[in-house]
Amino acid sequence: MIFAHITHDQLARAESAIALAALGIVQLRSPGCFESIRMYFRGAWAGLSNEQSDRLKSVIEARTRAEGAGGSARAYAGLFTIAMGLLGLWPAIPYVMPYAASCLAMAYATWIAYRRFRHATELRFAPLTRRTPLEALPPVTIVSVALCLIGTAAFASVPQFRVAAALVVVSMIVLLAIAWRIATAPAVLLGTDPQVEYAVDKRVRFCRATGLVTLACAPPTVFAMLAWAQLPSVSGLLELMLLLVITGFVATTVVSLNPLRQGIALA
Amino acid sequence: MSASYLVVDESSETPPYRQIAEQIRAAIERRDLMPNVTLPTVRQLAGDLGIAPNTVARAYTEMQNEGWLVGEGRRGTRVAENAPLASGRERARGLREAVAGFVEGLRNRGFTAQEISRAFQQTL
Repeated sequence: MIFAHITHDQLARAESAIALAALGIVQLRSPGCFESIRMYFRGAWAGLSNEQSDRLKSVIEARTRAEGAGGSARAYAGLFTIAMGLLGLWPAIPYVMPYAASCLAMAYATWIAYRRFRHATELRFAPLTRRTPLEALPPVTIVSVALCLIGTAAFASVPQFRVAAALVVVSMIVLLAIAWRIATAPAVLLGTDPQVEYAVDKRVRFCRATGLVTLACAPPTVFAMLAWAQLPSVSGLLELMLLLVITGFVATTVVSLNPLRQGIALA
Repeated sequence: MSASYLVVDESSETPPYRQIAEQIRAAIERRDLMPNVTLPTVRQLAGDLGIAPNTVARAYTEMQNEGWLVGEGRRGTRVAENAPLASGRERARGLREAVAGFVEGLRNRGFTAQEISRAFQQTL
């Protein structure tokens, strides 16, 4: 048997490398596949008149062009993800680090798209409506983050997982900072159809901010599950912490995916 | 209530803070902005328009001094309950003055009355 001498750690690393390489290839083949604007409006077309559908379509196309769909940052994120998969095979590297770094690269590519869009126009329209960050990051996402942080901190009490836990927390904080920047970023309206542009901006902002929070909760979940699997015996407290982390991840995933099939109200 | 949008034209002769104040005033007069509606924060509006926060703050302060807006510290700025809405006659006078000032500016730039009139008709 070829696999007879493979340890649990080696198997986990190999699986992780294959998963990251596949993720990187998908990103390279179709850049922006995880945060393309069209994806956020899959369910938005039902109930719209032909005229409204045309308006929505042209606004989405204009914004996609302005953000630079298929930009190099997303392709670089794909390459980086593949490189991280290979790096993960090295035993000296905590196995969760490459995955956390890949999540950071994806978040960075999203942020670059936002920055590019902010400079897409000189003449900008502003809605006379007050926004709060909670519109893009609802309380359930904040609770989810807290659950993941608490769970990760609990696993840090086991000496062998301390470095990995620290890396996970750092990646989480960076991802959350980017999510916060997107939640509070200016609404850039090109002025061709401000009402539809603002509706599009609100949904894109929500989906991207909550998507990044989900991405921030992913490394703690992977970390906690692998750590739990590696321990010979697990206390009831750590099992509870694992449950908390998974609950947080699932909750924020559901919230981030929720608007994808929802309609959109246009005047 | 329909949503209102502001735009600042940096190439205009009217200073940006005055453009903002005039557009907010017009939105209140059109009843797009109802009394007690909370306006965007200075930072949010400045970010959305891509201008300095001081410019928005100046517009808000001016409108507060004129009684259009009420500043409530950290709770933000809202439309005043008794905003000094112009009567029909005052609105007409305001429009005449604005058009006269605009036409004056165009004449100073060398446009004839015929050209200005044609451009107005085409635009409208």
